[in-house]
Amino acid sequence: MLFALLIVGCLFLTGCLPGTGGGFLCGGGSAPSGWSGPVVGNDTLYVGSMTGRVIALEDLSLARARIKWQYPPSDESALGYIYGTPCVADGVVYVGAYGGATRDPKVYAIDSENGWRIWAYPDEGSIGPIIGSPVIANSTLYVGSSDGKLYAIDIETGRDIWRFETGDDIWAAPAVHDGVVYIGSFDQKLYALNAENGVKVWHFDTGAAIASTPLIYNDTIYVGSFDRKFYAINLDGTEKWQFDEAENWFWDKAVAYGDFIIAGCLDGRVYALDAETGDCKWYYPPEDEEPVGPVRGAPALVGDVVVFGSEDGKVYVLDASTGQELWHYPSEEDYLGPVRAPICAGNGVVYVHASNQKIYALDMEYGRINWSFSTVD
Amino acid sequence: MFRLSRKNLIIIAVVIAVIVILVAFGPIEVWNLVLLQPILNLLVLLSSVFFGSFGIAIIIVTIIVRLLTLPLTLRQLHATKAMSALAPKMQEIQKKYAKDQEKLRKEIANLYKESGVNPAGCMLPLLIQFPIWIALYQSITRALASSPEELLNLSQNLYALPIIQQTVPLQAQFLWLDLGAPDRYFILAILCGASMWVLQKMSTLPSADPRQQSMGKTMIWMMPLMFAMFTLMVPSGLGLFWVVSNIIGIIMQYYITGWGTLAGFSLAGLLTRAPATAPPPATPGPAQQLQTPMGAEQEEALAAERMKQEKRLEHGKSRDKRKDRRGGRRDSSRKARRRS
Repeated sequence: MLFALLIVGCLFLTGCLPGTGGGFLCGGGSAPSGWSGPVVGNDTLYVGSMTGRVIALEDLSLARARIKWQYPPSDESALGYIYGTPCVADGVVYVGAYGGATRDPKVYAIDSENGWRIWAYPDEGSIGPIIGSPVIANSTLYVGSSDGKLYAIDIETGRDIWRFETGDDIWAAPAVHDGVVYIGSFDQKLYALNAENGVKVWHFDTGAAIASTPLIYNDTIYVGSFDRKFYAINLDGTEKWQFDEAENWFWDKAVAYGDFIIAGCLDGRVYALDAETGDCKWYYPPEDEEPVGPVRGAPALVGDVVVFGSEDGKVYVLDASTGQELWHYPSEEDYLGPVRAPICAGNGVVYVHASNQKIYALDMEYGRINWSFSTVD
Repeated sequence: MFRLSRKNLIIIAVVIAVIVILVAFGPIEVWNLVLLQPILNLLVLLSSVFFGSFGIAIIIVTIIVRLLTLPLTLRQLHATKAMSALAPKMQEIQKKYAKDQEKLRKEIANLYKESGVNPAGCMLPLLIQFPIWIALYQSITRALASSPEELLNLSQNLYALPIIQQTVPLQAQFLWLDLGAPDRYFILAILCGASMWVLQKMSTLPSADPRQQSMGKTMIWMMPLMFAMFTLMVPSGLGLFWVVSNIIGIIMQYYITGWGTLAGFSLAGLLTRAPATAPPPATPGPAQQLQTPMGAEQEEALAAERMKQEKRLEHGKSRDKRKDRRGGRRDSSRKARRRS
């Protein structure tokens, strides 16, 4: 009998431990923490911290960035986990929160100058947890939710204009182009919707769930899927090509560089594909080297270099035309903690939000760190 | 010269092989490769086959694992039963040699030897099954991937088969349950607690040792309560696994020991008695019989059960003797052949 008790104890030690956000973390998996990427607007950096607050940093060009404001302030409870990257438009910061033990999932509009809340959607009640980033086009904010719906919200009033329901969770961010909203869903479909009224124009079937944000470049939609394939789709919803040599899922948005589409993959590699044919031009690390850790967050382009973060706790800088590594940060022994957030590029500097709850400003020219800022309360 | 038997050589070889593999690949990689990933992928595959229902996949995998470990479970149950049958004799020896510890140890060893019972026989099969159960438990929780980080983690443990990739993320809805969250209606917790109580009641074998009796009584209530509480806190996919596992355990237990101390139990009796004064789970020795109030019907049922068990044990012993005799005959005929 005592042995049975011992078994129960061991099961809980090996399988289920109390999580930080309330409830239990089971299966020896990772605790939720969020992976919001930074965004820069008006010389201020905005990011959703892993403590569930939106943080604005100023003096980005100095040796040490300073906090401008945080929402909610430290005397109020946090928003829960934040996975989506904030977006900034007309002096307002918009962020979608996943929610947590004390707060429901909501979209918040915050004054970029003072950090005061302008509105929250929904006013009362809640929607499903938000993982994808919000996007703004024509005074409308588009955001997907885990309740399977895409919401179009008026940015002035904070009220929804229309909703479109897909067959499963939405974890991706939408993309808007020429009056059409493109959104991927876990129901394995990429939808094209009329941005005005949310009416479906067409849908494209992939072989598995889509969590990746579509990239629209030269009248083609580029999107990756959990079926380990990367698709190029014409604007009429027909397939242009597909790339199927990756060994794991494509999760986040790709970037375009000349004739290349560069996408990170959870197999620990970054692929550069010909935008017209889908041929693989290069991949990093090359065949004779071991893959780095899974690449979840979107890479960023700074001039002719592509920067991406990896689950192995490092940030890699490559020549975008050849895929050759220029340098990586930190050096061999150091470790930032998994870099899952998308990288933000601006003025020869990239901003990285690592799982060690720090924001790093990396100088691209000299390959060194300008400053780091801890987002922990 | 010191010689090793073939059995011991095999055990040593297996232990060395396990150590070499662990050192070469690392314990976590070996664990993932050998146990976690196969079970996890089987769960996802079955979800796909059964119309995307992860609940059915959990039930089927639990049954498969129970069937695969059946020989070990049976061995453990038989060994526990045999140990329990020795309890009265053991108590006699303990009384007789209470002052001479060395003699006591010798006599106990003799008793085990004479009756052909190995005390490690109860623990060893359980220990061997233990990693499989932990892997199944971890697979269920990992497959559910209730947060984005867990889904990211899951991506690293799936096989590159289209049928598996297409099924993820899994549908967490099963009957009234969201398998990724605790059951809001407490139904699963009640089912888990009740099924575990039945299993405990059936598997608690008669013991003459008052300490064991008291511990058994506590455990019959404590374990179900504990698991019911866990079920309220963890994702209901795990609760479902516990309930199914308990039901299979009850069926297996029924075929080995029958209803055990559950025979003669009535719900009315349960309602009229507080847990602390619940009847002892076993047929006690004469001294205990005087101390514990027990219904005549229940006493009769327990006595009959005990007789049945003793008969089965006797039958098992005579079967072993027959086996030994047959083995002896085979050895002597082999020797004769070698000589010729």
